[in-house]
Amino acid sequence: MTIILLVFAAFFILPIIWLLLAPTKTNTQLLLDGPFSFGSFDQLVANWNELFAFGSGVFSTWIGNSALYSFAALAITLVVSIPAGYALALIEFKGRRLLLVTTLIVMLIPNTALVLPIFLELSAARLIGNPLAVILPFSFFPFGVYLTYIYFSTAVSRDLLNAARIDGAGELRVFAQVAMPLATPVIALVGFFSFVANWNNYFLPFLVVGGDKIPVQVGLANLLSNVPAFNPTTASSIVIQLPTLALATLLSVAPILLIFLFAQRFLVEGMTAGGTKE
Amino acid sequence: MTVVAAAAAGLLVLSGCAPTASGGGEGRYGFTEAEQVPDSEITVWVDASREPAVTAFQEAYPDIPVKLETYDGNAGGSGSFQSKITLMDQAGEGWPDVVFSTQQNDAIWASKQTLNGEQGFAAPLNKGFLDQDFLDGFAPGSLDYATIDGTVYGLRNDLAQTVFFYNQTLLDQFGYEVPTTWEEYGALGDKLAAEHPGYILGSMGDSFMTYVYYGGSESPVFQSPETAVFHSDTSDANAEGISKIIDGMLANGTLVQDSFFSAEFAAKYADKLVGVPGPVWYTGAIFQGGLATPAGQIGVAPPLSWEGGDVAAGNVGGGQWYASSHSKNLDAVKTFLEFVTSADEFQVEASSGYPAYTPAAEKWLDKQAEAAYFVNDDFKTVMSDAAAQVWDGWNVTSWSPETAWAKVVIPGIAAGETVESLLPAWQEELENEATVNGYTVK
Repeated sequence: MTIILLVFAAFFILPIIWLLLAPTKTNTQLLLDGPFSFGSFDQLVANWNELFAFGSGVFSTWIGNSALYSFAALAITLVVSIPAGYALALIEFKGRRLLLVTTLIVMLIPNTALVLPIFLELSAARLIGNPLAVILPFSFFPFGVYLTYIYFSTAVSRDLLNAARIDGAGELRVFAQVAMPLATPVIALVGFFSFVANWNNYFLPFLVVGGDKIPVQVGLANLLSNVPAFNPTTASSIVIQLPTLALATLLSVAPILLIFLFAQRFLVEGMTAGGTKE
Repeated sequence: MTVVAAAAAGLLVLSGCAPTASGGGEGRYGFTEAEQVPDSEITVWVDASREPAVTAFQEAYPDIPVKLETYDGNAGGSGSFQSKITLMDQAGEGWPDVVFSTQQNDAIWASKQTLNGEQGFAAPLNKGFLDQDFLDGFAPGSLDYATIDGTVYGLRNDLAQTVFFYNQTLLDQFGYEVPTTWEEYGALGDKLAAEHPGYILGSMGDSFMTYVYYGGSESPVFQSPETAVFHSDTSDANAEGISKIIDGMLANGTLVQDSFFSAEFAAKYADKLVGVPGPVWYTGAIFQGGLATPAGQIGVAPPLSWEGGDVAAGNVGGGQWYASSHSKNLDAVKTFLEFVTSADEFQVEASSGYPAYTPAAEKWLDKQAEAAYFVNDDFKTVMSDAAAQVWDGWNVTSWSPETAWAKVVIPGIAAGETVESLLPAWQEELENEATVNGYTVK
């Protein structure tokens, strides 16, 4: 059993170790030295400098764009989807079932299928090229509504909320002072999923923003087109080497890694919540 | 990348893209102009390597407002140029004014009217928009890839004609002559393998070798004699001849299978490459780049030909500039296009490729001569002659010839089969791709 686990661990961890070591090497070292050898810190600095020199430091702009899009969308998502999920779970109103089914259906539609209508809509609203063209579609997160719905309908007792009502609290107060504090794990979970999905989204920002407004994932594709191994027949005066590309890839996922490390306690709580019932 | 390509294909289906040429004929310049807004800003899409072109333009023409947007340059089949334009065609607005593409085949789609009635994105350039005198300044044949039914839709940025590079130091050491024909190239392989095993005359590890060896040997493998018609004949004498030479050299080890851009190649063969047919950009990308061969060793000879045949060069790459037919400031677009393709500030001073515009190319060659990298003084004549000798029997289509080569031939060679035995399968794959792309195979 242990052996099987070790084999699987090695299978998943080895590529990551390789990726972590890659930026410490030169292009030649990367391909000729042992796959798990360490290059040097000097080379890491050299690759770092090369990456941030590309396009006069455009890499920082990309990271900044990604952060702006992801955090702005995250804020809107939370403000919208948490109350929505709460209402769907705990308040009886007309059309509730229809809304719930619609949420589920929209969740199942792949994002790419919606790209053309979204593009036309944004174009009609004259938002193409504007940060809002990314932020608004990113904020549409039916999975978050569904997750909150599940949480509130299973993990939060109606009796508790009713008790608050009997004590004279209005609906808003019940939501804000009783339901919300109980929902911290699911808020963290929705926030995390939304942030990861938006940070990693390539296709939508690729189409709706250009130039210096692109996020880092689209920027990586621009970097890639300057790597001769991937694009040999283009006469390029600007050449990005593979270790620099590896460094860019690592930096592009670093924020998610950091957020996961800090948020993991909430995330684990959120995921197991609702699994058990008293 | 696949997602982008798939989505682009999906958009094509949605827009019902049918291959109808827009023909044009309207307006002063052969297309319907948008209402012109004098002095309005023009948006330019370039890849990172072409940013200096825009910067140089802004310095030379500070009064013309230019918005620079860097994108992936439509590199290696990303299809980003077409995906984005197709969406803008649907929206009916938002197009850039000038686009640089690293691919050669965009005119095929960009010249066509879209089904919802938008005219093709690329503006016809030789119907009065640009002066014929200026267009005549481009190397003969260099505008062919972007010419459809006699209308020029794109300006070539750089040429990628093939020549024969040789290492003079090694040739002297072994007492060999520079080959001038494909037959001599094959024979030199036999001799080299027998007398100095381990030394090589090239590699088949990259899929663009199809242009070098088959385009350069006038093999009618990839032809589109008229719009939406595809022709391939791998049983042609030239195609079979060059395949036999390649097979012989693969067998004796003088052609290897490592990619030129792999570090393995640099490590194993940096001082073992006796000669190689290849595009002019090998100078920077391979000899001065990966192999780091010092100045004073490499020479440049004319492209190889068949014994008794004419000299013909292959072509491997070369970007294109397109003007938007929807531009609101065509005067600025015209100034921009003329500047980036012909002015010294970019083409001579800041461009790594061989300029397609002949007067710029001459100055570019002078600049290379100052660097004194090559052993032979006549390399300028060799390169400029080859620029005019690119074989016109290798065409561009809406898909790349490299995929069939990469799918059928490269794995076949790696599995120990001969290229000659793979020719029918290669042709079949090419014809299948043609059919899938809406071409009639003739």
